[in-house]
Amino acid sequence: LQEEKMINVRNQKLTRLHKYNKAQLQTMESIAVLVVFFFLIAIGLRFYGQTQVKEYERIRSEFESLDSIKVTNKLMSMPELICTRMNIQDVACFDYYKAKAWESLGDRMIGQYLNFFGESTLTIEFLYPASNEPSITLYNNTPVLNQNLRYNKRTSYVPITVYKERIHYFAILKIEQYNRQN
Amino acid sequence: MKLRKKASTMPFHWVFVLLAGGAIILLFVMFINTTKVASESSLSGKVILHFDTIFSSLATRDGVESNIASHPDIHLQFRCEQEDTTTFSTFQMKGGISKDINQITIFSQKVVYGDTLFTSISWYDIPFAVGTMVYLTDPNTLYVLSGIKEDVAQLKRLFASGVTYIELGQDGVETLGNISYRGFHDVVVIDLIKNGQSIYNPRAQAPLISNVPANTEVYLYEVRYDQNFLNYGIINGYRYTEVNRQKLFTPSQTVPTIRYTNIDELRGILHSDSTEYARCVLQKAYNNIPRVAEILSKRSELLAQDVPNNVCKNAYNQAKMIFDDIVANSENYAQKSADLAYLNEFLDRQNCPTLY
Repeated sequence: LQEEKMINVRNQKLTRLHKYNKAQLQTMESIAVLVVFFFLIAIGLRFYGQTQVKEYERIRSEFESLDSIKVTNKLMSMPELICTRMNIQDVACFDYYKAKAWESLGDRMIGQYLNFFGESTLTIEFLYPASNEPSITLYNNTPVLNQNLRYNKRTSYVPITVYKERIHYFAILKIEQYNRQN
Repeated sequence: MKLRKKASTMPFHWVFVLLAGGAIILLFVMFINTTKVASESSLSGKVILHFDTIFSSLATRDGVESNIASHPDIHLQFRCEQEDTTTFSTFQMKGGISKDINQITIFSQKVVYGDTLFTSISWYDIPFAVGTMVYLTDPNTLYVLSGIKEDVAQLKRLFASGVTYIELGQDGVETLGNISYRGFHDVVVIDLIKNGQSIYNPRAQAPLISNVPANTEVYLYEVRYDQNFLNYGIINGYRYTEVNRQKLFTPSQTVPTIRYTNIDELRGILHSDSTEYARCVLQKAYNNIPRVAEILSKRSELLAQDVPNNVCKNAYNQAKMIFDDIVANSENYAQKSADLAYLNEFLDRQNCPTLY
């Protein structure tokens, strides 16, 4: 009887131990599921983050293009640059003497037009009939490049005519814009 | 015994599941909220930038009228702040991010919205062009025009073709009380007062109006002039508010007054919903004057050197002095405009390049 009792007690202990092990296993299983779940979420978030960064870059590039269009539009409508006769404007035509006047005012103009053109360089290059006519730099605010600051350079070319003493010259307006990279 | 065992294991299990579930839900709620805020902010930024590009593109040609397709839920708010001669102007989608519009001179109500926005563009000529002006209004604004018939006909041409207006004395509308204001966010009453005589006197009629909806803002501009109202005049601005609802347009304090010296300025003031806002935007336009005058002065100097005709050389030298005067004191441009116009016509007759 004594021996039977001892066997029973041992069996009971073993059963309890077995159950305890089973419960421990179930908890470990839940934890493992959660770990896998959070791991998947982390991968998802990382993927989402990368997609967002790409999307951000795309939007940034789109805005830079829009900015370039805005600068071109602005230039093509500036009364201090475009051709007029008796206050009637000529489409896509720059007045040679206005452009020369603007250039001769030099660095003072940078302060005046900083809001409009920011960090950029605007140049008129003559093509025909006098391609030897020196180019006119309207605005030159090229950023100083160093290791800490990186810039994206975007160059646009706009065909224009330049009017000087009854002659229309074919020319190119070169717009170089510098956008700071983060 | 079995029940007790179950009772000891089950609660632990459920608490664990609830905690984990709660944490997951919290994580998702936070994620959704962040995404929602980010996407709303990104959307408002995109909308604002697209409008900015549209306005910049519009501000290129003289005399162009355009209707911009929009959405009634997009409420554009315009602001202009002024300190001495320095101005700072922005626009934003209601509750969204703002964008500076220091490069463009836009006259509008403080808030515009609707499925279509009406714009018209003109060069700001003083008499030489110093920039472009954009006039913006929406279908929710009603203009009530009062004055001599011929002058009102000219006044109508200052607004884009899609704008809603009512003419006092026409179509049986004799008083402000006959007008239905329902559906309009802003009502702008413009009274042309020639030599101190108002024909329909809307300011006196105003206290009798009782049918203006609570959320409708009413403004009255009294344009006082002697001969041609398009050339020169003074404008008194009155505003209807909740406080003086019973005393509509009755000035309880100093009435904001603004002077205009040409048609572009008049047009700008009438498209604004306050004389303060109009003054600030006008200052932005005035700030262009010395910059353009300086370039035109230098251009006159270069032309005087290059043009062989001595008579024209003389005219360019005179013009240079006038432009220099304007650079030194841009407020006196109105006094110089006649001299510049004379020289410009003279140069045109001589077949020399004109000043502007």
